[in-house]
Amino acid sequence: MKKLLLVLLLVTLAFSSFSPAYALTPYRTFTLGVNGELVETQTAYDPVRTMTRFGDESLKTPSDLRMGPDGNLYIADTGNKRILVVTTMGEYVKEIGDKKTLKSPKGVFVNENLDVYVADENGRKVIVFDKDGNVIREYERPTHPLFGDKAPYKPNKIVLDKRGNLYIASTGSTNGIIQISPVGDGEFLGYYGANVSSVNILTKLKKMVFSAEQLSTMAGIVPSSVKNLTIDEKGMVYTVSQSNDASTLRRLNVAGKDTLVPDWFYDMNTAVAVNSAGSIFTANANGYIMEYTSEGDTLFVFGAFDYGDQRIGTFKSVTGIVAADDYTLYVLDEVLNSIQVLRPTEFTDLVHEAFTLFQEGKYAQSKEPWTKVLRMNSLFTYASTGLGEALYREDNFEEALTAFRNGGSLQGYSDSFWEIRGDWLHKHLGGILIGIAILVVVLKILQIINKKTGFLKPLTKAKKAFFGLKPIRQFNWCFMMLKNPYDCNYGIKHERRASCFSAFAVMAVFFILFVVNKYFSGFLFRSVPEGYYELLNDFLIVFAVYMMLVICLYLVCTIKEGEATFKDLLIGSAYSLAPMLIALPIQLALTNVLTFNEQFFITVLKVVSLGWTGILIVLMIMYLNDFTFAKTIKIILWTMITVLIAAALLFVVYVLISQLVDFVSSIYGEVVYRFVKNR
Amino acid sequence: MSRIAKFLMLIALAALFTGAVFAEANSANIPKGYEKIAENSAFNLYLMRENLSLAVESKASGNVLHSTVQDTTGLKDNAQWSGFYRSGVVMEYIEGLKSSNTQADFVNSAHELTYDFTENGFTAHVKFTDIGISFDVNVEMDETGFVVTIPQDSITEEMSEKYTVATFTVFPFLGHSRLGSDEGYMIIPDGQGAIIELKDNEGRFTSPYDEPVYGTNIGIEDSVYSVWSVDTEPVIMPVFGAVHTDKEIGFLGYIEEGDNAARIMAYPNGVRTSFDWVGARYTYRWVYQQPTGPSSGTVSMRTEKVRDFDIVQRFFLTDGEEATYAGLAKAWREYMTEKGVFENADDRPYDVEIDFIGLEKENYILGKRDVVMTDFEEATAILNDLNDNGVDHLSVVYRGWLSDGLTGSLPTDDYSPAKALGGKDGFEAFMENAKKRGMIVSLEADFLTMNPDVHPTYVYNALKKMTSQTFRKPSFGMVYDTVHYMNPAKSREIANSVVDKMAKGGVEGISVTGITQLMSDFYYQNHYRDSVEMMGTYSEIAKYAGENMKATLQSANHYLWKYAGAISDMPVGGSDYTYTQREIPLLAIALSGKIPYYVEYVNFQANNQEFFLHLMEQGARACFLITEEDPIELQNTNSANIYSSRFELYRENIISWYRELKALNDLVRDASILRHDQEGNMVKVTWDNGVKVYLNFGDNGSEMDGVSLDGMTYKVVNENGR
Repeated sequence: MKKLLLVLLLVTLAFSSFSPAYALTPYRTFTLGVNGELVETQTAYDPVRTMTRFGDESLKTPSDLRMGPDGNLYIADTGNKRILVVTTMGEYVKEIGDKKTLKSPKGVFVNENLDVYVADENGRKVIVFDKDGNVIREYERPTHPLFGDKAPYKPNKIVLDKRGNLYIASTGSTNGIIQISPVGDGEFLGYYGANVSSVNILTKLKKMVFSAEQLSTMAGIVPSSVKNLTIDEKGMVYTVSQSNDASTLRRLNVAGKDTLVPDWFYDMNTAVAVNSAGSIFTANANGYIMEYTSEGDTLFVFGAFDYGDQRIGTFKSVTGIVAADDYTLYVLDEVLNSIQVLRPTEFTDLVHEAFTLFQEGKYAQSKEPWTKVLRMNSLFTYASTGLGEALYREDNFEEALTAFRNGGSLQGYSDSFWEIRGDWLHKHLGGILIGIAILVVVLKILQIINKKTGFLKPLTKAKKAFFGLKPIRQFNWCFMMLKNPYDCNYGIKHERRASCFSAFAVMAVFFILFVVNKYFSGFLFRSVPEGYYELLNDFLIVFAVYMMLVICLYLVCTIKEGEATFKDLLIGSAYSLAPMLIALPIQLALTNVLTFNEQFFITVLKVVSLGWTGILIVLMIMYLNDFTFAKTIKIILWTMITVLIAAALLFVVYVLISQLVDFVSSIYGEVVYRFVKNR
Repeated sequence: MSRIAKFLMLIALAALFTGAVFAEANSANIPKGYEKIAENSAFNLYLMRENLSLAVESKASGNVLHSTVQDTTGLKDNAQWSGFYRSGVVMEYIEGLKSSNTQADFVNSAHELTYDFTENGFTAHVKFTDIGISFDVNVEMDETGFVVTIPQDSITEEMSEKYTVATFTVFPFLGHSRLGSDEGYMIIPDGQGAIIELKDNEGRFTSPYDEPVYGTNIGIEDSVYSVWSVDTEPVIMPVFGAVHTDKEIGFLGYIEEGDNAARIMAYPNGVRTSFDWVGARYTYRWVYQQPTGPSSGTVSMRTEKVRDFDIVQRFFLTDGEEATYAGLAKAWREYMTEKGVFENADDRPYDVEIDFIGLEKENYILGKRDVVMTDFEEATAILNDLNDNGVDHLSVVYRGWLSDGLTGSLPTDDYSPAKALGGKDGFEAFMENAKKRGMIVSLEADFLTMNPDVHPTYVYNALKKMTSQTFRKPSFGMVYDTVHYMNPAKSREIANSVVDKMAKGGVEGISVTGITQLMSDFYYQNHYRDSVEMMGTYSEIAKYAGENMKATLQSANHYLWKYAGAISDMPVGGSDYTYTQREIPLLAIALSGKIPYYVEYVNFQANNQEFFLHLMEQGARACFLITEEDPIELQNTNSANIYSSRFELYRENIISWYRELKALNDLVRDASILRHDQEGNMVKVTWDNGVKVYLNFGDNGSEMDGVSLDGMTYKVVNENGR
């Protein structure tokens, strides 16, 4: 029995590397939420094992990983100066190249014949081995004049297209990927898909001022070089580089044009992979991995840095990633000298299934897997959108609308809403027209009766009395701005037609309209994500900006001998907002009934109301101060500068106060230490 | 004196000497210098006086586990490490205000070591003469193994102004192995439990397993909270061990006292030394940095006083067939049973836990508004539906039942079910209906976490770190930014009043969270308070709750188990360290058949079927987080991380899982797990009433004991082999 137990345990030990483990994944997985922010989702990829030993061999600062057509993994084992070939289970197969043939193999590629292309950075060449490890060809530095005398040739990573053309990423090369033809002597075909350096105002300024020498040492002027690349079945080349904009991941077509705009990305990407389904994977040095759909939409974001916990699924410095067609990921780490294997979860398999159907246009068939995905994660936006598309095609617009809304798909929502609105109008238009007709007739009749009997007189009287009230009269004066700005301003200045109180009343109404518009616009035209409310902020913006402008304007006007009093400007500025008081309610109504197709109306409304307000402000300053037009423009410019100075002053005060707070709490800390804890 | 007399005397002396040393002829496996000091029915215990080293010998096989390294030839470790592995007990002390401790051992440090022997063991009086620190180490053997005690009052510091005690490590090298010299594994308490195999790692690993018992001590350590990463599983059970499978001998170290101050360390070979070893280190005192300013400036300070505990570390010993992790877990379970740890456990029929979310809060134009996820009427309908469809027993926990919602109503400081959910009357009706149907209704209560936005006045009762700074933790939510913790005294005050109110209100159960998962030192009323005090206060809370209601403790740390009616939210797996080869259901085996225990939520598992198989393997109870509304409603709340909970979608799942899990549990009711064997992807769990469960965790078909199974399926064989 004991022996049996021993055997049993030995068997157990032998199999232990594939053991059933239900482990806590060391990272959280995120996907894009409705507002384009990252939201948590189920674990997409489970780390299943770490491979560090391959037979008797181990790795030393490996820098590239590929899967060959034979299904084996080819590792550019840079430190050991060889290409190590292993199975996906981590068994040793063979090694290619040795210390004599390779100096620092940094990149590897395997073609259909299992020929192995090695980018040897310090050897300054690309070496081709046949599958038995014999050197069959070498590509040295191109001699073509277009290659450039000073251009570096340090092959770092390499891929081949179907025709056998080489795409070589060279360390320090900013001209782009070196493209070489296999024909003849290895003809240089040109540079391909260069990264563009990011240009901002500062670099433009520097370019004007700095000397050529200074410029050459400046970071940011030189475009970042390609860190890693891969190629898909259609011959599209994917590159990653260590830039911090969308060019960190690019998909280049034959012409070298970028055809991908990732909607979310990490900087410092170091590895890229694409599988036969077109899913794109990137990994950055710190071990953060992303999966994109073939459209460049972010599907999953996950990963964790190894802070010394030594957990499976954490990384120190990723240099290569391979995505098998079953979505198993192999991730190479040059510091841990390991390949970690990540396997898609049941959830991810479902997502992929649905996506494949969806992208093939089989919306109806994708409905079931999407529903299953939503069952596991109600907040998975792609599933909501996918389901929305399916429902839309089933003419189930009501449910499609909800699904699109949950998925954050504006266009889908707009289309569904258009259909629903159309249906509604179709059903109710007749009724509405009849209703309007009846209303008109009734009003007419009432008018006639009123003329004869005068039974509505008390009402008219009350109305008159109401509008005759002083505050109401003063408030309504603002609409005079719309009719006749000159009269209105004259009224403010000379006739006491308005007061400070009424100015604030106008501002209050404006504020309410502004807030309601901000938070209750239709879904399609919202400017803030749902769930965000920053009323205090809004209040400060509206009233602080208003007060600041008025104060600065007053200061400038007084200096420039304007006639307006502070009160005049306070009222005038508020009353100039009159067009907004009219436009905002209309805008609110429109955003709730219009779709993207009729967006034009809203844009026009906005432009007109803003423009009108602007003009009124200019006129207000002009009339109240009795300025000429040219002088008014000057005053406005001066006011803007004053506002900037005031803002800077406020900032200084803020910094001083926070320093003071810091100082006081330091003293408190000392006191705690000296008198309380150190007794 | 004549020559003959001298000669005779010499002979007599020699005879005496040999007689003393080899008085009880040691077996061949025991090296010279060891003397037998105690035994039980299965093991002999030997002591080497010189370095307080122990050796444990199995009577049946004669195989031995050593607590120090015997053969040091060829080892090139530095003096500190070689002192460490050649001493039975290792102490660290603080010199002045130096932030790193200095080691004192029996190789490198001047010491006096004297012994008093008792019937079943001995007391060693240790004195490190140069630094003037002395203490006693007591070793007593009993039927389970032996227990080591270092009483705190035996520790004396003669030069306490310069040298003070910092830590103790007790027989850390018991059961060590070198570069695969032995076959077997070390057991670490990571999640459910995990094993590190004793094979040559060829230098692959660089850092050890070194985790504080009961999780990060937030009073001392500055935690970094990240949205991205998931923390490692905290240590819930203060056990560790090693099994030498080739020698069929193993031990499980169990920290009976001092668990609040212990770290469990397991070093795979290649990390610092070429040995695999596992042990616990107990910290009495340490040096920390007291900040004097908000951004810069600190001074070194030593803790005001030593932590108030005795070290009591028990070693369970097993041999033969019992020398497996399952055998050791069983020994631990039996010991706990004997000690009354499970005395308060409920006798619940097999059930499934349903956690309802009542209410959450989201931002609105002015202030916040309610997001009602499941009101009491809806919850009643859900329960009735499940009950009518074959789910006979349910354990129902209501979360977010106060008017400020799930993340707003923290801490739980009142018994007043939210009006938005139906108010007190609604809740009473809900309870009545559930009770009629034989279900246990509990309210979730968090007496630890505090939301400063909702309860600004509680900020004065917030838990302070050693440095006297208030502890705060980001909540990564849209509505509330941070949470604080309550200090233990306030927690107890609130808890007692809430328990009274709930019990008076007729609430049957309480599901306690927060305090069940925290262990830290803290600062209170201008003084340093140690984790022993926290442990005492939290024990009182749990005890009071258990006496007045049916108390379920969530992810409860081991020391609270004795007050628990049931335990919930237990881990199913572990942290997946690279140096662990396998996860083992150590916790499940230790608890099986003794206390109802529920595992973490089913909802957020990406691999549902695999999760289900683990429930089958562990005989655990499932737990679902349920809402009537779609959780998309929660996306603008602080609970936005709940992405799946809608009842409609879980209904079938609950019914079918209940049916299958209950079928197994009917067979193993009142039984406990006896053995746990693994072959490749196949696992066999043997219960002590003869029921066997076979599970295949692989994707493809597999066979074990002639039982063949398709991928991801299971089979239960009862005692008659059917």
